[in-house]
Amino acid sequence: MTVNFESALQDGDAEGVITGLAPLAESERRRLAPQAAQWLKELKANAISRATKPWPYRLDSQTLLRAARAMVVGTASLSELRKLGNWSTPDEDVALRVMADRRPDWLAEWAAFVLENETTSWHTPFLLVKRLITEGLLPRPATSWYPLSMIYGLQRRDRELYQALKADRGLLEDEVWRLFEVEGGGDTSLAAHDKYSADRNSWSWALLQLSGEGLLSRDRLLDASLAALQRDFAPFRAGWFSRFHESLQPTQAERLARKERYLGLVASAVPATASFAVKALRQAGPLSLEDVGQLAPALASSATGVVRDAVRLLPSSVRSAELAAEHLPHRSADIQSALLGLVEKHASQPSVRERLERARASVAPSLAARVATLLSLDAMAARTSQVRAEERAAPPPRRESSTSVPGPIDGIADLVELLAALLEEIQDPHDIERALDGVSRLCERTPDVVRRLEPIVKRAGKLLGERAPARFDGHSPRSDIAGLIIAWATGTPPAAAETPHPLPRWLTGRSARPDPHQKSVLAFLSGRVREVAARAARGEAAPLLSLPTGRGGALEVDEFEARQRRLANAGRRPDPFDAIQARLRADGSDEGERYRFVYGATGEKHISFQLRVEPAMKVEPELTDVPALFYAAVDPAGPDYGGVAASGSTGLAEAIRWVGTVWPSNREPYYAKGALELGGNIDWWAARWELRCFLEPMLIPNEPLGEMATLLLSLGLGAKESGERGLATDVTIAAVAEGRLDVEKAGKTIGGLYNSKLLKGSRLATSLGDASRISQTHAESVSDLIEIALSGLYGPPPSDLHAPLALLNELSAARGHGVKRPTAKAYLTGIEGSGKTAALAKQLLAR
Amino acid sequence: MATTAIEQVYNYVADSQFTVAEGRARLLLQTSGGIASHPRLFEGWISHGRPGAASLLTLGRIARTRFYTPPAMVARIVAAADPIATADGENVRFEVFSPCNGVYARLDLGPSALDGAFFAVGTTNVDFGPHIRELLALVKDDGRIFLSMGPDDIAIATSGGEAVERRVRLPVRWIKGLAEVQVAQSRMELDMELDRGEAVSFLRSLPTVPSRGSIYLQRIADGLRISRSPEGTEVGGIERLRVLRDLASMATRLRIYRATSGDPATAWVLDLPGMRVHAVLSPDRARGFSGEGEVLGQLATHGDGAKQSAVGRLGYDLHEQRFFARELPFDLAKVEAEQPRLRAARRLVADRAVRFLANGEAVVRSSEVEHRVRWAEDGPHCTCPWFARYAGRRGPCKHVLAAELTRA
Repeated sequence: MTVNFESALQDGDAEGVITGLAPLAESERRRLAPQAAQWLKELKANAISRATKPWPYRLDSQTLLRAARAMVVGTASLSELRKLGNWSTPDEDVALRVMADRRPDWLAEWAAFVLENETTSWHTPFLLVKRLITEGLLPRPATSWYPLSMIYGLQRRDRELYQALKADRGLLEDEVWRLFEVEGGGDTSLAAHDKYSADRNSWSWALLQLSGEGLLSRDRLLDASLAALQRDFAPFRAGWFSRFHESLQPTQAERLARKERYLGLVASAVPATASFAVKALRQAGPLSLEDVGQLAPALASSATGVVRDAVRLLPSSVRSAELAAEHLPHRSADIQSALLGLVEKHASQPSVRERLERARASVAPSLAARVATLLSLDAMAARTSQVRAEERAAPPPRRESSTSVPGPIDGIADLVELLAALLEEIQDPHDIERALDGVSRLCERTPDVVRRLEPIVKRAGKLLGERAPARFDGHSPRSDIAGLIIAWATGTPPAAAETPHPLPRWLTGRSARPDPHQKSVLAFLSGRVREVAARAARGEAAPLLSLPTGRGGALEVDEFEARQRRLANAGRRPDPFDAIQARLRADGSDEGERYRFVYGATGEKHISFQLRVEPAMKVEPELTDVPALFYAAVDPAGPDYGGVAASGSTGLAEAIRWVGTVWPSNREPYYAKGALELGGNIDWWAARWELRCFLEPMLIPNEPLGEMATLLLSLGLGAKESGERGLATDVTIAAVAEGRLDVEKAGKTIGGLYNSKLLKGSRLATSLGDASRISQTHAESVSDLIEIALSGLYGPPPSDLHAPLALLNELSAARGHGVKRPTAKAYLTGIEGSGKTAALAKQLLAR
Repeated sequence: MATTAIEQVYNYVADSQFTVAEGRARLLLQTSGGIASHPRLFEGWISHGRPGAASLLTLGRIARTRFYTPPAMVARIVAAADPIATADGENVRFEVFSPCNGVYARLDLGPSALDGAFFAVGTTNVDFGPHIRELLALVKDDGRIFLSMGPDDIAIATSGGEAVERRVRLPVRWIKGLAEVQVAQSRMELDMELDRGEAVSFLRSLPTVPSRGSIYLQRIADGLRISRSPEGTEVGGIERLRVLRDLASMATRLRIYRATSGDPATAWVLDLPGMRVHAVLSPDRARGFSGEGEVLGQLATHGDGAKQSAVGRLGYDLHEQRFFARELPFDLAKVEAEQPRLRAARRLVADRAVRFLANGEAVVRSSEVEHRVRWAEDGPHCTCPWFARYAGRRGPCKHVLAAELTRA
């Protein structure tokens, strides 16, 4: 009987399609393929646009698609099916019947393609392919996607995973074991599945149950999980296998039988796997001498727990001592001490002494005497100390950085290229100043100039599309530059007030909706750009007063006065905002003398940092009262000048950097703002990458570090985010080298913040330890700083006090004398107990 | 339409094997392609078993690691390319390139590490599957490893044909990046050298998670320091170096090379007993070696070496500061020889989009705007967004190329 396929498709008659295709030869099927594909594409297009257009058919989409897919999979070629993608994949029943009739020679390839492209955590073609296998239509696919698709492929609401596995014993013979050979990725892995599954529906639980019932070989599970760990899967996915292995609770005998595998895993690049292996070996029993060498990778681990476990595992032997000596260069003095424990027993062996001698320079100062004793040559020990003292006594290395900046732009070609670069990215705020100055002086609107601007006008227009903040209203320096270019090129002056572009409703917060009337320092800077844009639109060139002559916005007074004279001689008055900016850069302002800052941290579980200006501002400052704008910003509800990105309320690095150049002779309110923001995000609750920019001006060689700068620096040294902490460390190093750091002030500030629990001792120890490595001067400064901080502590010692004390202990040992300050000694004397902190306190007092 | 990927078919006579019998470790690597279907290149001993095994494992790890996954990318499993092995009569070299195009690594086994016979000179792919990696991890520190690269005639005869076939889609960009990284190395100079203790300390101190912003290395009295302020050697994606940690304690020194111009790619050379491991990092973990920037920039200045490297015929040895012969064992005929940017430049020339002004500048009309190209002391400049963003660090833009082609 001939089937009218067109009617069958439109009637959603899948049965009719399947029956009609069954007797057809391949060539007849192929002739029907274009019609089938076209119909499927039409259905797909209408299904996708259902949100906006009514469904044009009388039958529902599932019915029609079922028939369409039957037709497509029964007529299309493999490459056509690949192109049609997952929309062409039918359900199991349809697939089985059509493929059983058709039996294409590419069926295995199609199954592999479907598995690879359609396996996700919410849908997999596993059961479809499994049925094809069960019916003998194709062999088990070799692709790793086959077992991976099973991870989510057995789930059903009415059946636990364990029950599904038990119901199909064939899976327990092949597919389950293949799960231990493939890693997966994204959501498709055993680790990802079990992380978000209830216990009874996890693979781990299911396999344990089946093992307990004797349906899965326990031995094989133990071996397979170890084999998986040897495949170097990514840490997250590897973790499933080590946890599963441990959940089987291997006996000592089972562990002993697998000792070689554990030894191999000690070298794993995944720290958690190495740790697992070392712990497993400890449970397997004593290590033999011939296995010692394989623990070397564990001794090289940066995870102190792994090293500690490995040290405990190593038997006392010459080889163990050799390895321990080789791995002495470790950051932790505790670990070095543990390693020396292994070395000590065999220090008389030449091979051990040779390695110890090589590692001697890396040994912590507090252990130097112990090493010298082991090498049993006092003169050598003294020479070592001497060498170290000489090295560290050298004056701190001088930084190469200078305070000079590039001069004014001198040609249109350079100016256009600079403007083009600023449209893409703004790194250095001095580039904005040079661009502004360049446009101000070179903005004659000749035909050649206008032609040169053509490529960047297009780019500026694209930047100012719907998503960018409006220009000249204190939200985006890049938008301001774009507005400047457009005004210059088109001759259209900036409008009096820009209408803010609406942002998505779901954005909340004060910075979510740009306010064109917001008065902030960034709005003042936008005003400067608007002034120049207005003149550039008229082609009215004039020099600017405010271009900096040094880093950080510095303007030499002599140069400022010379510019004023030149302007006056030319019969011109300066632009108002330009004049304000230039004066602030050259002469400064004594506005800051009226204010003081008050800060502190409160709370028990959640520590909150507060900072405010006193006296509080009662009146909103004018846009031209820039110093007042700075102080007003030190208020969480005040005018933020961090800038707004078009797609969210995050700050802009270029905005913060540029604001930092506005009042170079008094950056205290700027640093106060930075402290307020960074202190409120000390534990990195929000990814505010721009905040580290507040620290940058402190790197300028002659930048003074006042109260707020020191506060910001102290917060930075204890910040969780490594970029902030690293930059704060760089500032500390530079400031010590240049004699700018008031150690007393910094120590008291850090002590206060540490006592309030806002700062963590471990982070401080890391950053200060890094700074202490530079020179003896740095080591002394850090040592003094810690002592001063200790002097400011009161109440029970912080739980992580051992970290800064360990650092102080090393610095003291290197100096050869103990704690200097009586107040610090008094604090240490009051520390009781038998823990690490108390032990370190005793060591320090005893020195 | 340009080809975006080629299907590389690996056909091996059998799986590679690693066995330990009577205390002797044997690594039998099967080969596919290159100078023959299954070339037999070398047979003999690697003198220093543990460093050799650890180095091969490190390469295997790099070959499979995507150090960066773009946010929009669905995290599908990326099938890794098999390592490439080259025998030149004195050395055996294994090369890998990460799927993210950002890390290149090579293990050079020199004459002092090898004791055996070379049967042929050439390059091939080697099977280095998970079964091999599992077992290499068990090599004890004082063992030698017997290495055989390629099946002998008997093995071919008894295998009954190619028993193992694997298909991997290799993006063209990946292949070109592998070629480009050789040219990138040729533009590097030695920057710093660390002894074993310093290398161990430094590699242990590397961040475990990627961090935003540039990182710089500074030399201080007791080693290296990682800094955030722009003083020292800039290293992008430095956390990728953690993959070398396990090798550091076996190394005698670590040398750091940096690019003399352009984007801050770096190279790291670990000297191990009888062998060297090279790792080259792209300027940023989110950026791979693009496959054209370095080559375009070098075609004019370094001439033949760069050209030959660009088409996959040469590798670069930083230690010896020279190119070495190595033809990539891929079907390069399917990879378009001409770089896309160069093609675009030629189209501009053909469309007569370039004209020169009296002052020597060029005006290039493209996408309905006219860009200006000029030649300054530091090289050619352009007003296009590409140049504005990269300032020549990724080679010339198509406008500069078009202007130079017209001027030539």
